[in-house]
This record gives sequence, structure tokens and C-alpha cells, in this order.
Amino acid sequence: MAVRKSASLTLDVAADQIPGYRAPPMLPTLDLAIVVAYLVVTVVVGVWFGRNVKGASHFMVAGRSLGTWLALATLTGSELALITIMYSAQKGFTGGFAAFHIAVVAGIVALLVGITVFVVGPLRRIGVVTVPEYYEKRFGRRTRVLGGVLLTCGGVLNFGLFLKVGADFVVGVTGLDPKGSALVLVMLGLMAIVLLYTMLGGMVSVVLTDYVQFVIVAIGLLALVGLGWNRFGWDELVRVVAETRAEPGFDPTVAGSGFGPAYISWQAVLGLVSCAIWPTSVARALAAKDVGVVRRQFLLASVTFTIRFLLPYFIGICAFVWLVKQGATFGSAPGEVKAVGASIAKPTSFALPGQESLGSLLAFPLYVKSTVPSGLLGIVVAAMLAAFMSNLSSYLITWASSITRDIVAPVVKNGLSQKAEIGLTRVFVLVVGAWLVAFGLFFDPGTDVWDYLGITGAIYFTGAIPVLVLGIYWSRASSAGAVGALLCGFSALLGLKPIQKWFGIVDLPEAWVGLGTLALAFVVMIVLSLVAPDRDRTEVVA
Amino acid sequence: MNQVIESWAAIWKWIFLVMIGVFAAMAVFVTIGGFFDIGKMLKSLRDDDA
Repeated sequence: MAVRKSASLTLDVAADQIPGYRAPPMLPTLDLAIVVAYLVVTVVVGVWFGRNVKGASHFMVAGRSLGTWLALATLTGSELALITIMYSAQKGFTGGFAAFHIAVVAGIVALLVGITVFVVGPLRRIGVVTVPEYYEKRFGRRTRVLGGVLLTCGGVLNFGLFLKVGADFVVGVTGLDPKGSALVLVMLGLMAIVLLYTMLGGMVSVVLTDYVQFVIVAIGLLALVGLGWNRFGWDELVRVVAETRAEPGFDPTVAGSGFGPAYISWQAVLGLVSCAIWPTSVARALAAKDVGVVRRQFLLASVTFTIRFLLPYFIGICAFVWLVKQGATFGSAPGEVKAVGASIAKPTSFALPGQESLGSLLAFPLYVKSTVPSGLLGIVVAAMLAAFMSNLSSYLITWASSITRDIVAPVVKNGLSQKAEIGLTRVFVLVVGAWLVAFGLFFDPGTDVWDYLGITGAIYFTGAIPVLVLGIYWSRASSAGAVGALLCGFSALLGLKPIQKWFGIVDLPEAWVGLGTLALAFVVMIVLSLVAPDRDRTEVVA
Repeated sequence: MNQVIESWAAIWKWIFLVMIGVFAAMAVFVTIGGFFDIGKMLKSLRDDDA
């Protein structure tokens, strides 16, 4: 077993040393032209339609005027992000076909939310603009501000990696030099374009660019799947995974798959959060015309919530099989590589013959760069950029709106005028954007990106789930219980590897920390609500 | 390849193919329907201004 030096997250494989490598080092002119054309169309659409936006309602929820199909396009556009595609391809690469269970669980949960309009229906009826605004209506201003702070903490940590992962993909797939200043320049360039139209047109620009991005992402992803199917065929993919991973490559319940019952339960929670609790998804429900649109939106979204994982898993498996056929070696720890044929518990790194070991996140861009023919490559790269930008703009506007409305506005004595609210939101879009650049450059999550996202999001949602669910469906829920449940969310920080290291805890699984925090938050909310009920509770009609 | 792997592979294959088909069809509807929804949204925003 050879042990090699681990490479950073950037792609630094010399093109001419990869067996079977066909693409030139830089993106061909035709592909570059397609990517530039896409970027120009996005900026023109975002800026042109965003220039006449008036009032906070237009800026933050597009005047609540989205029809079913547009609502679905924007929901899918914002949730089918480049980072989602990257970490899902990574999960397919490391987990094999067994990772498919995550997509199935996500789809079933979204379907159930669509049938019952669980949480999102009542929130739309009440007519709030953000989740913490509901906290104030139900539990008072203190809960709203605390909820806003937690949402901001969890959110900015959660999408802190988005820009870096997106820039990694662009640098890797275009053949730019990752060791120079290319990564920083790509991060700044992408951020500047997104900031331009998001700050100008708010949710109206975000929705319209999401639509363009949905169309391109759908074409690009389906093309990638078609190419993988055509190159290998299903049976060949199954054969290679069976030979290298055996049963754990297919069955998520067995030991060695890296999943198991606790992990699957955690995915069900994450599935519920993704569509009914997470602010960017809830924002789409709140922007819908009525509850009927919300219901149709989530029923149809159950397909896209499945697909956004399923397609990249398949592509990740294709990347794994392609690497096996290139004679690559794989390791189950950073920097470690083993010959294929040996039992690979979870291939977290790989090395092409004569090359340095690379992290599993880089298998996807390397596969795309090396196998997609020119012409289609431009469409695929534009699709990945579309996925990146739609997601980033949605997250920027959602979090900036929440900071303005839920943290600043409640503590300003006479409230904020509409003009001040829009101006402040634009400032926070800029501040959060700058944070993304800084965080992406200096932070290493130390785990799979998907698991990092789950646990950072848990800081917000482990408290938000009991507060929303019990607040809406249990009349005795009190503000003391809500505050207690929200504060419990901080214990989810223990799921982060750097925090575990700091406390001297050895490898506590994210799923256990997340589920434990959620259970604790429910217990605290119920007990405190019974012990300290509200005396003058305001009825919120949903 | 053992029986367990073959069973799981068959399950995943059918789920994958069905979802691809549904998504491809839905993408066509979203593209066309979303285009018309954009017109309605812009009209609604203009009416708000008035």
C-alpha cells in the first residue's frame, strides 16, 4: 500500500499525464464562447428586469406573484446548486449505489410535505415574509431576534463553502492554474456578477435568472447522465462497483456502507428541513400566490428534490468507474491509496498513475474535463455555473433579508422605512458576499461537504423544527419553550470536526449529534412550555 | 455477483430510470409554463406600481 502526500482541494493534475485524457488544458474557444454567452444573458436578464423593482415586497418576495411553474423553476434553481452537484457526485463516488437512498428519502419527504403542506401551508396563510417573523407573531420579539441571530450564524457557516467549491470546479474544469491567483480571481469574478443583479433587483432578478438557470442546468445534467450511460452502460457500472465495494456499495443498511439506520434517519430530517424549514425553500413558498400553488409546488418538487441528488450520484459513480479503468488507486483516508481489488471501505481519495493523491470532491470535475466532448463541455460548464449562481443569489437575498428584517428592524425604535429596508438589505448582501470570499479561502471542513452542510445547518434548524412545528400545531407552546429550543441548536456545533478536535472528542458522527440535538430541542420546548406557559398569548390564525 | 447485490441493483435501476423520465418530462413543462408565468409576474408587478 502506497502512501502519498495529500493534495489540496484544487485540481492540479497535469493534463498530458492522465491516461486517456482528451481535453486540452484550457477550455476550447467554442466552449468558452458558450460560457461567456450564458454569463452575458444572465447579467442582462437580472439587471434589465431588476431595475424597476419598487418596494420591500417586490425586493424580498417578488410581490408574492409566482405561478406554479415559475415557483418550481426557482425552487429547483436555488436548491440544485453547483455545491449540491459537487457533494452529491462526491457521495456517489464514496458511497456507490447505496447513496441513492438519500435521494429516495428526500423525494418521499418532499412528497409528504406537498400532500400535507406541513408547516409551509400555515406560514403562507399567515402571510409572513421570513421564518423569524412568524416567531414574533407567535412568541414575541425576543424569539424573533434570537431566531434571526441563529439563522444567520447557521446560514453563513453553512454556505461559507459554496463560493470556494464553485470556484474549485471552474478552475479545475477550465484548466486554469490552481496554484496561481486564478482561484481567488474566479471567486471574486463570480461573486461580482451575482452581487450585481441580486443587489439591484432582489428577488425579482433572482427568480428570473433562476428560470434561465433551471433550463440550462436541466439540459447540462441530462446530457452528462446520457454521456455516462452511453460510455459505460448500467451493467458495467454495477459490475465495477460490485467488484470494488461489494454489498456496501449497494445496501445502505449494512456495516461498511458508511451509512446505516442512524444516517438514514438523519437524511429524513434533512429532507424535511430542505423543503419545509430551510429559509430559501420557505421563501419560495412564501412568494407563491396562494396555498394551492404551494401544494403543487412541493408535490412537483418531490421529483426535483430526488433528482438533484440522484443524477449527481450517478455521475459520481461514473467518475469512480472511469478512474478504475484509468488504473487509479483509491484510499479510505486522506493521502492514502490502495490498489483496486483490495476492499475499499469508503474511497475518500484517489490517485492516477504517477500522480499525487486527490480528494474525492475533485473526481467529478476531473471526469467532466476529461470525458465531455467540446461543444457539450461549454453547455455543461455553463450549466454548472448556472447552478452555482442561482443558488448563491438566492442564499444572499434570503439571508440579507433575514438580517435586515429579523435582527436590525426589530431593535430600531420606530422601525425601518421601505427605502431603508431595501438599502440595508443591499448592504448585507455585500457583507455576506465578502464573508464568503474570506471564509472560502481560509476554512477546511475536515469532512464530506454534504455532512458539513448538514451539521452547520443544524445550528439553525434543530431549534427551528420544534419551534415551527409545535408553534403551529400545539396551542400550549410558549415563548420560554421556543427560546430554550432555539438555544439548543448551538449544541449542533459539536458535530463539526474542528470543534470536536478542540474539545478532544474523537470522531462523533454528525448524524448522532444532529439527531441528539433535535431530540433535546423538542424535549426542552415541551418541558419549558408546560412549566412556563405564556400568560397573554397572541392567536395566530393560519 | 451475489443475489443481494443483484436485487439492490435492480431496485436502484428502476428508481433511476423512472425518475429520469419524470424529470425530463417535467423540465419541458417547467420551461414552457415558467415562461408564461414570467409574463404574468411582470404584469402583476407593473399593476402594483400603478
